[in-house]
Amino acid sequence: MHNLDIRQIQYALLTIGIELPIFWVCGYRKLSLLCYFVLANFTSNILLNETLPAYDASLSYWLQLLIGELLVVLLEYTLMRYAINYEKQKLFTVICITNIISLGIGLVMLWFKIFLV
Amino acid sequence: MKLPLILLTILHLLVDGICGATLAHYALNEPRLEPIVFYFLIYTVLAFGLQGPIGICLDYYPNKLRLSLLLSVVLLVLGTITTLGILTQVILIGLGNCLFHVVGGAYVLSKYDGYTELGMFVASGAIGLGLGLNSLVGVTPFAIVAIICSISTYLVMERIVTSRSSKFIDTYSLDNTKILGCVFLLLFCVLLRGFGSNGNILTSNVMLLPCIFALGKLLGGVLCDALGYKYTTLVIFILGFLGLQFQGLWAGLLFVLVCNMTMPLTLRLLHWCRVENPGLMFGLAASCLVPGVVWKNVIVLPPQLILVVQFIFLALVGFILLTKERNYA
Repeated sequence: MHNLDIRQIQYALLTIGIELPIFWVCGYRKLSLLCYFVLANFTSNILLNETLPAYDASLSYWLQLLIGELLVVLLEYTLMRYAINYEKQKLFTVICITNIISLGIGLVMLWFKIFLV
Repeated sequence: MKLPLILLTILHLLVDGICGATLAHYALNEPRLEPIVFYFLIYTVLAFGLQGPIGICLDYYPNKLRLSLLLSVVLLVLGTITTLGILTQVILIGLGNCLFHVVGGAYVLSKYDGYTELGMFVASGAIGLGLGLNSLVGVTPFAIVAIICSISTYLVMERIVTSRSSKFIDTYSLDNTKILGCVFLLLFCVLLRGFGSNGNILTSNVMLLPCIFALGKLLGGVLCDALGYKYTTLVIFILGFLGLQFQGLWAGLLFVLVCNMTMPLTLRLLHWCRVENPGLMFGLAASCLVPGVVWKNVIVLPPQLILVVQFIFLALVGFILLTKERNYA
């Protein structure tokens, strides 16, 4: 069991900051949907960061990151299906795109060693 | 008529109580750890692992259900005789327990449509096991009440008619691959629950965990009948998430509660995948608990992974199967 720490919340908010505008651009503009997306994103990111070990550049880390990201996509899609029951294919594609972009930005930040305080 | 359900629920407590008390009696008189672990393992494999094959047999002879119930109690009572030796005792109580679970499970699955009845039936076993394993109640009181209760249950149990379709899902409109896929996803959820349902909780109150197990199973059933499958899976996920964000006894207990809440859901949906085989579906679910019991300390899975995978799989199965259910999209 974990105590939610401030760094995990910062990571989650940063991810939401990247993914929410993309979700909005993709046509999901209803306020209730956006709020639900924020909650789904927050939950999935907290769970992913709790499970991932500290970065150590090993193959095991990258494998865990990959599996974790796949689960995040599936979790966010499943959670969003409770609110959006139309154009399921589009929803899945949008969730994939938002996560690929946020993962890409995250990896670039890691590359340049830009860490949050 | 819910009298058979009430009697089966009480009998479930007594049956698991007999097994727990018999094993506890042996363990208290055995100074070495290895034989205790060995006989506990044999019991687990017999009691859980054989439920699938016995389930198939009972599905072919649904009119032998009442007789099998009496036979299970006879085996259990014989298993309490210490002069038979622990190996014979373990085999007898393992087989008796296995037979009772399949009979009770198949009956409740076939006779009732809801989740509450199923939650009620499976909940009482945890309390019986807790009372027996901790030697709070001895073998003899359990056995005497079980004999009386089994005769009463035999008299009130009605003949079950295994239907070939469910009014909640239309299995004929789904192809076999989808049904098989759903069965695998549900069984995988049960397998994961086996690894995560105990948590690592340290408490001096020996009956706290069994009561949480029972409460979780009952609550899962009641909530599912009240909110529908779709929103119950969401509530389970949210509660599990909250349980993982805090430390301490109550957070741990919340996670254990949530893990157990999925039990009536998985059982009911497994049954709806093959309504004509209630014994087999109940038995398969029980068999999937064996790896979790046997390798619990060898394979350690993060609770977050258990929560997420269970939620995704349960929701996915719901999206595929439950298009007819109230509140389901």
